[in-house]
Amino acid sequence: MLEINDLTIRYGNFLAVSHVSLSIQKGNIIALIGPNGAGKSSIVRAIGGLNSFDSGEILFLNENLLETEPCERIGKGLSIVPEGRGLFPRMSVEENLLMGAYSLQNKGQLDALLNRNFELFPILKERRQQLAGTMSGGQQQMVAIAVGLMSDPKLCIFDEPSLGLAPIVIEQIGDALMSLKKQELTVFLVEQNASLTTKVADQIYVLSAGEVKYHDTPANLMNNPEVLETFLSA
Amino acid sequence: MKIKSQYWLLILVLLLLPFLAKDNRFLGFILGITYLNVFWASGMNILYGFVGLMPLMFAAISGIAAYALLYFIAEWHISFWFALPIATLFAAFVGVLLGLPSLRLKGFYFTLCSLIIQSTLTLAFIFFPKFTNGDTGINQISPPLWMNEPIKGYVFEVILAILAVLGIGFSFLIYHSKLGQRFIAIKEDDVLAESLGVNVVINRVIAFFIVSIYAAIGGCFYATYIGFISPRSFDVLSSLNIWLFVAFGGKATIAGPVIGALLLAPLPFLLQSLEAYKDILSGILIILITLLMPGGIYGTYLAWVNSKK
Amino acid sequence: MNNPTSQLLLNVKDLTIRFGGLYALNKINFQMNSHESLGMIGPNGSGKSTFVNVLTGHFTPLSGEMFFANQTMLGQSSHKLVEMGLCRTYQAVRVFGNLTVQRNIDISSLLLQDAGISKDQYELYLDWLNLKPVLNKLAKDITLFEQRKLELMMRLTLKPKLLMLDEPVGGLATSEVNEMIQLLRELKQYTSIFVIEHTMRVIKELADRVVVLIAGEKIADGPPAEILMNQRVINEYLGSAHA
Repeated sequence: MLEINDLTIRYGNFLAVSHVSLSIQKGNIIALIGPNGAGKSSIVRAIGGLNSFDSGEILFLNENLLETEPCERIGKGLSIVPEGRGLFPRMSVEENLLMGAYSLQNKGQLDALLNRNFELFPILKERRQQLAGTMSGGQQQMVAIAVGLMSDPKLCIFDEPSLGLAPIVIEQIGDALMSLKKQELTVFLVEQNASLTTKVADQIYVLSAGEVKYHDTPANLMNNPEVLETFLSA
Repeated sequence: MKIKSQYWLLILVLLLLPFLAKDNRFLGFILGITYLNVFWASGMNILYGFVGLMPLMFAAISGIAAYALLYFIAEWHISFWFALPIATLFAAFVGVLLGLPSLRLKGFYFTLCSLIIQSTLTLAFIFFPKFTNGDTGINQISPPLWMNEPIKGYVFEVILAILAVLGIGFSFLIYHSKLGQRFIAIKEDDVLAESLGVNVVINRVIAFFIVSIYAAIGGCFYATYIGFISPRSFDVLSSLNIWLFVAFGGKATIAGPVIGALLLAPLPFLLQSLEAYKDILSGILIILITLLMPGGIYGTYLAWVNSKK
Repeated sequence: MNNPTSQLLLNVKDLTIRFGGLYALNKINFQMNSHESLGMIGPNGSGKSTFVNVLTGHFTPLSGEMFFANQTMLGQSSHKLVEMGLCRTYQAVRVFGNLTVQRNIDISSLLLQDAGISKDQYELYLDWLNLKPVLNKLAKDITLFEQRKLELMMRLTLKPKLLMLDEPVGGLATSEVNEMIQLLRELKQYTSIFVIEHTMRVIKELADRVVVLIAGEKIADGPPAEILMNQRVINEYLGSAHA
């Protein structure tokens, strides 16, 4: 579904991403983990069109993404839930969700999509009229994830969704992701803290200093003591 | 705290220029006005550049000081030099009193509050003719006496030059002092500053007081130098004018406001034929600075120098 | 802290605050001694950050009392509490981004000035936190982990008696979390710590006692082992993974 081939991103003299290739197959949950500064955000921004890159290519549904304007990518089925939530604080939960559906071609789906979100995160239904800015950090994160899903995407990229969330909420998100996978949503999970990824991902790419150091299933990676110690223990 | 040699050179030049303009009263006058504006700009920079608040009521405080000065001189028959500190402190206290409610605000809301106070005071100047002679203004203001001789000609410009240099020097001292550090912390992130033990409200009041002193002293010298004042001399456009010097030259630096005032203050006089376009040009400059050069001339220059490293 | 004369550091009685119709904190009672390290956990929106904000003077409580080292905290402004020895860090890292690391530290040292830490202590902290290599960089240009360490350095210059840390490992990578836990463990020699966290490993390894907040109420208070087995905590906060 998404192919990144030999991607290189430079900021001035600084090599942020170096010849990274990764492939996300339809219906899978693929994770990218690595510390701060490893290059994960650069890759996410490049996919979203907010960063240019120096070489390589990004293909979505076999089309070169460079041919699509960033604002049109969501229309093609690519949704990104950004790091740091990115909500409209003075709008209610429901209004934020509706904003996420802005690009929907078929507005008839709106109710179905809202309900899907309310099932995944019951607290959103409870607080649908509450101003997003007045919710706690973790609750805002749930709204942000729901907003990303409102455009009925084919591929949804989550940039650090578990940041600041209580363990039980991380579990809920994990459950939500598994449930979405059953509904044929493809997920690209980008995280620093690997606890969520080891539970739900089909494959994990480990990024460090701009390069892919490991790529394997969670089970195999957890059996590798070096990887376990440096990247996975939480 | 090293003072670079080019600053000493600048100070020397500033102090010597009045002597060069000795015989050309037109140039001398422009010089005098410019020095006043350098002094005012240095003061406004302390609140705008260091603390991050937009003081639109600056000119109104100058006005309070100017009118108070003339009142004290007329009613109490004291000399300019005695009336100056009294009028200055009076205006500064009134300024702080009026500004106090707004000092807990910041950003846009402070600016709005400041604008309201400025406009109200301008109206007060117009509608209390008993003290201010209303819109007619007060003319034939006599210059200060020194050893029983009125100060005139280039001597007055020398005094204004000294005033400007003192103003720059004082703002320099503040910038490098612990007080200045607190101001900058408040501007950068006032919540963080408070959580590190900085009393944000009191420091804002102090900054406001210092800036009011600058506004007030400037106002007193302005009145006696020009010889004529009216409510229009101290309206919001005057505040914005000085703000423009600070923003154009480079806020939050010491040299910036000086450069801004030196470059822009003489313009209305040198380009008298373009008088009608003066406000348009000011407006264009404000837009240009906000969009293209938020750091002002000197700020942009410093950033360029740093990027070369 | 290996201080034999441990004093009552925090004494909170019936602390209550309301936002609109909701009780963000409802009659919270708890105490903390200077030799203890406390943790606080709870679901998102349970009132943890509000608790810190009330204690550090950002919000005025509706009712209740709070004492820091036997001095009342009610009505004291944030900066006054800092003078009394109570410091805090924020959930999202907060430093003066446009200033250098050195300037950031200088600004923190302003409060105590001569009464502050000695030059030796200063150098000790700087080395311990490994901030010397980045002193001249702008605070916004250093890594998140370095920023978090800068936050610690800035608070240490204020000679805090109690440092409240709101999610200190938030956003850190796994290896950095390990390092931070070690740093916080060592931090205990310099000040008492109160840590709000979602990462259970931090709580397990650092806290002597854990306070659990759910929907604005304290529902449990005890050693980590006990808390982590509390059924309500598991149901409403930890989930089955941690059971």
